[in-house]
Amino acid sequence: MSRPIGLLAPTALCPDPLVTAVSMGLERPQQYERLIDGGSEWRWLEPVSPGEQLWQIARIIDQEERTSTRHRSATTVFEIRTWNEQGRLVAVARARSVSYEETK
Amino acid sequence: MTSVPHELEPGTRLFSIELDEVQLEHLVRWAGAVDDYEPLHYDERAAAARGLDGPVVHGPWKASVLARALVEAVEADARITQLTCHYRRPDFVGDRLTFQAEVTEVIPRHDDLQVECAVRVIGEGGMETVVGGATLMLPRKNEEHCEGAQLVTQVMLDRLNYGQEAGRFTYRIQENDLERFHASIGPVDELDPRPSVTVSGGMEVAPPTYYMAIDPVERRDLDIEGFVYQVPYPIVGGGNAFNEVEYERPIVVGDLVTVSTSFTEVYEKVGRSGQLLFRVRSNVLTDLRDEVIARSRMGHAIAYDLSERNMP
Repeated sequence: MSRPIGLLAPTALCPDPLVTAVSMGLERPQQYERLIDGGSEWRWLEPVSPGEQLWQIARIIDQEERTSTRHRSATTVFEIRTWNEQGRLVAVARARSVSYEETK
Repeated sequence: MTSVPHELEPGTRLFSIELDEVQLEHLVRWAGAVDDYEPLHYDERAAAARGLDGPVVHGPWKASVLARALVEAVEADARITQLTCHYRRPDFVGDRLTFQAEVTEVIPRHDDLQVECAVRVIGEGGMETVVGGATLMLPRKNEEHCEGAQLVTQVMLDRLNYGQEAGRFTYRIQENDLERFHASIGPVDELDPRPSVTVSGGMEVAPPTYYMAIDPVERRDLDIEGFVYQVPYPIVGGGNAFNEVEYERPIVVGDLVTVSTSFTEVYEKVGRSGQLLFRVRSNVLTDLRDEVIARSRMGHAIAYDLSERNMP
């Protein structure tokens, strides 16, 4: 019998989604001169309890190129999904990696 | 840190925390915790080589400070279901940072108050370096259940089989269905004969909006929403509020798609045209191998005039 952990920060299972994605083997593309972390997102869908075994899968879900008068950029969106022992999706984390350079 | 004020309304400040100076130690501890040893975050020379004023504060560290402050601001039976942070500008070691959260919307749900917040980090010079949002779910106190909730009743929730599967239907996807779906969207211009089916990898792929055509409620295969017309107030408006879909893979001709429908949210809000009753249903589309094809959420609202009660 396990008991709920209580209130967890939404970042608890995956504090840095970008680092997690890369550590799980995904390549972080750098198309242009600079490479930055553009943002993170965390969603809790189900509670988790101590002792539970969780599974995570990382993938790239979107890539987008943009050109403005000042910059051109390429954004790669990584996603880490976490499932519990019952196969239920419990959390989703996303990271936006942005590579950019000034338009000459 | 104080707990969330009892009276929550748009504009309520949940917290404002000032950190006089980001220390290199903060970043080194964070780097060790998350296994991120990028020198840009702790080595002045590495930062200078990239034209920066000093080691750059990790974006997710700032997000984690916000997350921790949110946890401390609410009671233990609350839930923080979502946090989004956009990293707009870099902050550097030595900078003074302010972390803030403010309520933007309060939505009464059946068991909870959904509290939407704006979060931000203000860096040197008063510039916003992180902006984003968070969603908190706070349990409603007993006395709050009836207060303000004039439309949602337990009978209504039971009729919808609220929170559990309300129905499960299976549909075979055929090419002529897709052609009819395409024709229903608009006439096919001879100069722009948009194909109803896109061929990809040898498979005929349905358009991404096709999930709506196999929604059991829209098809009247699942007809359990009749109670909304039994609410004792006149209907003065309403319609589709939103549709969302997330695909694991496309729907293709030949698929046998099983759609499981559940009503996951029923709540009300005050709208310009009256008291709005929202019903949100979630569909999970699976294939013959029981693998998920897509998940969708669809919200509908009906507006009632509470100033006038229908005759029984």
